[in-house]
Amino acid sequence: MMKDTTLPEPLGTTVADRSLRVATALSAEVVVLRERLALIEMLAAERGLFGPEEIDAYRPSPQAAEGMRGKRLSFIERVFGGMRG
Amino acid sequence: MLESAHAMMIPARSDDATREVYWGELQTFLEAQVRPTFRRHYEDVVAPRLSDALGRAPDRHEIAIAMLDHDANRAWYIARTEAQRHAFDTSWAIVDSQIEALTARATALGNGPARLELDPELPFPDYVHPEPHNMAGGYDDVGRRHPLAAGATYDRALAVHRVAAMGPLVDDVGHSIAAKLIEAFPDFKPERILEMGCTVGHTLLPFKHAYPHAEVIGIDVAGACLAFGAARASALGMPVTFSQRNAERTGYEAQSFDLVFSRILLHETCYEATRAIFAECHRLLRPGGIMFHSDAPQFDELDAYTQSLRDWDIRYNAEPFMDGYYAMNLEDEFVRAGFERAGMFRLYAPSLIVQRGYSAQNTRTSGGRYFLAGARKQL
Repeated sequence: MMKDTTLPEPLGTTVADRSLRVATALSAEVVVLRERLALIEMLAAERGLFGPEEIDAYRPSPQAAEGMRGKRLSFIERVFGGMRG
Repeated sequence: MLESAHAMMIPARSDDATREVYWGELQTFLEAQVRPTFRRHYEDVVAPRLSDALGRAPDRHEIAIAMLDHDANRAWYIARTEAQRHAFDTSWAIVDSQIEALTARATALGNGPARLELDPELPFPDYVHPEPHNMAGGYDDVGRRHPLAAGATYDRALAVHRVAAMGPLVDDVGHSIAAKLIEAFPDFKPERILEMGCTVGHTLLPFKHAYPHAEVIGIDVAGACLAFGAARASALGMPVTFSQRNAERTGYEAQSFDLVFSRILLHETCYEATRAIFAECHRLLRPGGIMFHSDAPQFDELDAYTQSLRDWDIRYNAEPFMDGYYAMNLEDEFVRAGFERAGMFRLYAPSLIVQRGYSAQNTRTSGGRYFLAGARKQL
C-alpha cells in the first residue's frame, strides 16, 4: 500500500489498519472454504457416497498431508502477508 | 460462477473461481453499499468545520484529507485497496495456471477473422504506471510472464469483478456509447474507425457491431494486451485489427479516419500525451469526422465532495493522472488541437444493461451512464 505523508499516521501503518487488511484477506478464504465444503456435501449427498461421520474418521495419506501443509502455507501468505512492513 | 464468455476465457478451478468472484462482489459492496453512507458525515461534520476554518467552500483535496480523519472512511480505504489488489492477484494466478491451454487456443485461433500487427520496437511510454489500478503486471506484462498473460488477466478481471457492471463480455460501455452516438449523429456513417488504447478490445468490438461495414482498428502501446485481444476477437468471430502503435503518433495517414475515440485511456497518460493525442485525432480525421473520449466525468461535472472520492484512486489505486486529466478544460484543449467550439459536445450514454434492469448503483458509474466528450471536425 502507498504511504500517505499527509496524515499523522499514514494509511496502512496503524495496528487497526493492519488488522483490517488481515481480516479482509481472511474473509475471502472463509468464503472459499464454505463454498468448497458446501459443494462437497452437495455432491456426496447427491451420489449417496458418505456422510459427515466418515469425514471425521478419515486419515489422509502422508502425501496428501504434505499437500495440505502446502495449502496452509499459501493460506498464511495470503491472509497474513499484509503484516509485512 | 461465471460460465466461459468466449473460448479465450477458461473457467477457473472451484476455489479460484469462488475467490475471484468474491473479490469483485466485495468491491461492489464497498463502493455501492458502504461508501455512500459517508456523505452524511461530510455534510454534517466535515463541511461546516472546513468552511468555518477556511472561510470558503473546501476543494476536493481539502475534503479528501479531512475525510480521512473519519475512522469509517479510513477503514474503507484499507479494505477497498485490499479488495482491489487481491482481485487482480487472483485473476493473475488463474491465468498463470492456464497459460499453456490459453496458448494452445490462441494458436488454433491464429487464422481467425481478427488481425494482429505487433511492433516489438515500439517504446512503452514511461508515463504509464507499471501497475495501474493495482493490477499486478500492468498492461505490458511487467515481469515478462507470457505474451498472452497481461491481456488474459485484464479480461478476466473486468469480466468477473465487474460482471454486474458491464456484462460478461465487458461490452456494455461500447454498445451504450455507440447507441448514443447513432442517436446524436444519425447522419454519421463512418467507413473507418480507430480506437486508441483499446487493450483487449472490450469497447472496440461493439463498434464493429454498431457499424458492421466499417473497417475497425484498435491500437495500443501494450502488445501483451493486443495479442490476447486478437485471439479473443477471433474467438468471437470479429473481423477487426489490433495494431501496436502509440496514440500520440499513430503513423496512419492524415485524414484517413471518420471516427477516432478512446475509452478510459487518457487518465493513464499525462498532460503532454493527452494534448498530443488530441492533436493526432484532429490530424487523422477526415472533414466531418468525429473524435470522442470517454472516461469518468470531468471534475467540472461533479460537486466538490464527489470529486474528492477520486482521492482513493489517485493516491491509493495507482491512478495519479486522474487528478490532472479530470481537471483539464477539455474544450480549451480541443481548440488547441485544431477543433472548433461549434462542433464540440459532451454526452452521457445511458447504460443499456441498466435499462434492462441491472442496478445502476452496482455499475459503479455516474448513475448508470457513461460520459464522453468530443468534437466533430469542420467540413
